[in-house]
Amino acid sequence: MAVADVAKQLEKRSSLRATDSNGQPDGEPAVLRERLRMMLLIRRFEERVYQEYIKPGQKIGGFCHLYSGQEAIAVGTSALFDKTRDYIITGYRCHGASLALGMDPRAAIAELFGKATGCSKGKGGSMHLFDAEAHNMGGHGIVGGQLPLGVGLAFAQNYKKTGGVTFTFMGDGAINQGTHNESLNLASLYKLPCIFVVENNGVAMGTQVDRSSAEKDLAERGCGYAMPHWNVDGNDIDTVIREFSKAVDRARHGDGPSYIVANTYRFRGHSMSDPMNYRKTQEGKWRPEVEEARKRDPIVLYQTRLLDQGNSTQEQVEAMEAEVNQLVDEAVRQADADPFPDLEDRFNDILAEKYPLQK
Amino acid sequence: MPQMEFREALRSAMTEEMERDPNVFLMGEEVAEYNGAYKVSKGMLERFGPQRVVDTPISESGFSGLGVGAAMAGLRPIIEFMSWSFTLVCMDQIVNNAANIRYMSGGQFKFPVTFRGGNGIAHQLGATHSHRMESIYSRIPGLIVVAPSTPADAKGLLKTSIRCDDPVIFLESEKMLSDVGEVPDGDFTVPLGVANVEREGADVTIVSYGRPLQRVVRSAVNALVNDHGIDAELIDVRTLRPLDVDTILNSIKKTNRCVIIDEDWGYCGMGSGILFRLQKPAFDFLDAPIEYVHSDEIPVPFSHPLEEAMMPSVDRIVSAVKEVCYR
Amino acid sequence: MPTEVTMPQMSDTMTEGSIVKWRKKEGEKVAAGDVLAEIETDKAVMESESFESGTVAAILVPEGEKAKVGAVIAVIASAKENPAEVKKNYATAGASSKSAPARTRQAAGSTSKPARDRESGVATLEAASSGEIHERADIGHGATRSAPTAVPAVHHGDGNGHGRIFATPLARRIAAEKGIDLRQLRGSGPNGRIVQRDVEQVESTPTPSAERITPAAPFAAPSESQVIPLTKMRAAIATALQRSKQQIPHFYETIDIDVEELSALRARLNEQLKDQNVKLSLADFIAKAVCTALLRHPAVNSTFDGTNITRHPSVNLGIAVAVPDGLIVPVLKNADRMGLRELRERGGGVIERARSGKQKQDEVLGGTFTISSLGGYGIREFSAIINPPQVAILAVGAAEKRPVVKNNQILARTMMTVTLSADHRVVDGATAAEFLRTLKSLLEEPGMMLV
Repeated sequence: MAVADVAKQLEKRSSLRATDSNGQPDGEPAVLRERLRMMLLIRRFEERVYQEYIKPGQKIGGFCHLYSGQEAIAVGTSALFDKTRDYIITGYRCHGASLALGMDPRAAIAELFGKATGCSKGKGGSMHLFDAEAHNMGGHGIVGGQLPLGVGLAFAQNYKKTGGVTFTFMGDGAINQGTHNESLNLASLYKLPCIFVVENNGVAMGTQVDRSSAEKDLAERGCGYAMPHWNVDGNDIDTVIREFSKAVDRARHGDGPSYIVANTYRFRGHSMSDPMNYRKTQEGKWRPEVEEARKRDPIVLYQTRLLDQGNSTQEQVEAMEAEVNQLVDEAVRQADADPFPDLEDRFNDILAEKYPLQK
Repeated sequence: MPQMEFREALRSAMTEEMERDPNVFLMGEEVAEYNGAYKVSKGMLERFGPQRVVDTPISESGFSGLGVGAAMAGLRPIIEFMSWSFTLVCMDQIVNNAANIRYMSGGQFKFPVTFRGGNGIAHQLGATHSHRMESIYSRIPGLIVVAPSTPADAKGLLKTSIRCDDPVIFLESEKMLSDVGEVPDGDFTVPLGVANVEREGADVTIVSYGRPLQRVVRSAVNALVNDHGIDAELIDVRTLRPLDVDTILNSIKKTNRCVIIDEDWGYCGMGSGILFRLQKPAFDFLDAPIEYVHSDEIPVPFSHPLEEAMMPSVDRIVSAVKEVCYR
Repeated sequence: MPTEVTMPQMSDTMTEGSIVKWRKKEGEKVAAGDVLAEIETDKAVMESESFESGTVAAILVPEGEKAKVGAVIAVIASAKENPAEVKKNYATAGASSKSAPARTRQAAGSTSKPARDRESGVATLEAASSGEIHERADIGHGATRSAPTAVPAVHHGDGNGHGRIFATPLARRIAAEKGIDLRQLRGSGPNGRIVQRDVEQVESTPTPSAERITPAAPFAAPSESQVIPLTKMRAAIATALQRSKQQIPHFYETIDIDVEELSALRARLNEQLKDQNVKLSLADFIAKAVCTALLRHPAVNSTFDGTNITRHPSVNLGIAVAVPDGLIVPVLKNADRMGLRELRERGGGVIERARSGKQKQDEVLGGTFTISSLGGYGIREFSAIINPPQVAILAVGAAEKRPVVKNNQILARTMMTVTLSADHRVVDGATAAEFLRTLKSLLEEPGMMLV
């Protein structure tokens, strides 16, 4: 089936839960405001993590990859997420997805601090936030390493016929890894309910996308696998919800995977150690793209829309901001006071069985 | 007691476990329609259908990671590699995902996936297809590494490996698949983490496993006993990680000398790891240093006589044993 | 604070010691447990360990010189201090002879690492006699280089010429258990390595383990008289024994003991212990019986300082051990609490260490009774000299077949003669006789030791 035909089919069939036929957000105002709140929470959390990271004392060690600017994708996905049967798996820029799936900010920040109360008991760190109950399958450090895992999760959903789907996130750098080719091929060959989402923030570490991908239109990197592949404005949460739901419906109907490139922007550097020189001119000033990006800040976009449509008031927004600020501050304060893991705990959680093993 | 081929024993194990637990499935190159590259999975597609016996493209990273992901979501995959040499391209999935995620998540997931396939030097397959991967995986915390040397152990260990909730590296050899041996009837399992004293003796402790044991060590032990009057005790390690140090140590306390034999490269090879675990607790009981007979440290050559010369021979083993016996 | 290292008390009778060799030099780092120096006492040369880690800041007693027990012989600077500064302080203050406040530590007694037999006062004699010259100007043994040797055996354990004995861990263990001196053996393994079979081939002697049987060295008669100054050890022995004989009124009692049953018991027990690698000797049974008898006759298990008699609740058994230039009496503490196996194992270890000059500090002090045996030489009967402050000593002769009268018949029985020397100031004839009677009954009916 030609890709164009598939696209037509999707258009007809999609449930279009996010917007009504006029492209207006569809749903209870409270639900919509909740999405804004979650984006605010993620933004506030990441900015606070940034502050903690650069403080002397190294409370957050190792790598730390911030999601600021990409919130619409994680929160949009969570709006479609069925936590009884769906899965999310992503790379190391995982704070946003984890919070969006309901992780307690305290458990998240405690993990960054390496405390015993961290979601991974301090053994994973920033790149490895997991929440089995929420079907948050991590948090993975090796670029592209999570793609086959996502395919495996989808395989299990197909095998057990749960109707669940797996959102397999990656960055624009991962599409150049070998696992990208293998995973897309397998998912399509086996017709698995695997939704590949490329969070294209324009730059892989310090390398602009157009210097790392011969094919400039990243959606075309999903070509050749007999699956629909298209670009989406990743900064507009309603667009995200609308477009992703097409993939979700396709997957739940047993028609196989999709490949969506959600174009977005990352406000912070790749990680904490990135001075973002690639965004500066020769004279050291920010390039125009940075200003452009700020204008398309997903939070600003959505907030403006909600206010315009009357689904929220300014007071409500400010109240939400205050609330999430307090929530994050409190989380940090608690995590700060939390203990480090027992030294002996380093020997735990390696194997599930005891040996010698007779079964 | 029924006699069966090593490959049948493997098939029997997989079949029984797939009947027993609907979450078990087999995946790999040529496992379904081709009936298995080495006919291990012959007939299984017919019996279980394409949902549960799944052919893959040549995508080791893809399907090994798929196995890990499926395990994470509650299935119990058996992932067959046509050769363990091919896992060099997918080590990330095995070492960083299968072995580590449980730890990195603070114990939130378990990975009941069994990876199996032919390991080591077969016959003139050349330097890229003859890797002995046991030492590479045995050093990874989070993995279980198993190497049977008889059809009975093949069946018993594979069944336990499939039931085991941890990721298992199951090392076979193409060259053992046609071996015939007695395999007990019924739901026969062999525990993981227990070595087998295959032959009791008083003069020297011989330690080996898997294909090397099957290929040359048994012959060497016969030569030692019958031609050289050396009463060798032969220990088949069976599980390389975790290693059953106690069984080997108790033997050394009796014989006071030990020779380890495998086909790996010596430096940082599998035998080095076993030696490391033994040397300190065995020190006061040793009348000679622990000997390690291994393959020459060269890439595996193609020409048959060269390949043969590279590996331990009966003569080399007898020599080493005599040395530790001061004969 | 810097640590002052003082001259340790390494034997009952030691009042001063001399520094044979500094193993660590000024400025060298030292870790707790490292050997600091070799110190010659009145009995032997022992290794002295450091308790502290740091840098050797000052050495106050050079090699070859003496210092009184308790005198400061070196100073160790801690990690935070400047060794040069510390040294300066001590240069001006001079070595103090009294203990400094908080951090003076007696240098520890010698290490018990069995593997290093090469450096001890005993070995230097051995080396001298084998022709190797050691650069030790201080020992005072200079003239002994040309002297005919006293007792060293024909076979030297360092037959590999490396000055070290190569032996497998297993061989060492068996040797220690059997009381075999590795220096007596030639190894059949590579590099002259002594291996299991070399040790197993040596029969462990059935006589008390106190003495080693050494074949007499071929004695090259000197063509002219030689003057041999006393070694430290010889001088110390001379002084102690003279004092003992002069001051203690010795009396002697002798008794014959039928050890036929005991020998059979020994054989039976050893059969059972075979696969545990334990081989009991007659000496172990004698030691056990002596300890049992001493607990029943505590007057004999006492020490006397001239004024007070001290009765001891347990037996610290001294075992007289011949060494090439004299005698050492290592002590087995609380021997009364040990069974035969432990007496064998610990006794063997203590004796081995004494022979190689490696005895630990607590192995030479605190004895309450001593056993001396010349049974290995075939001596039928002899009397020994008491080691003060002990009040008695037992001399054990050879176990041999003799014709004896039993039930009015003449029979050949394995008999052994022992002689108790006792201090008549504090032990009476009857007391001594009762002790010997008990000892005889325990050895002739060993089951009575369980009663």
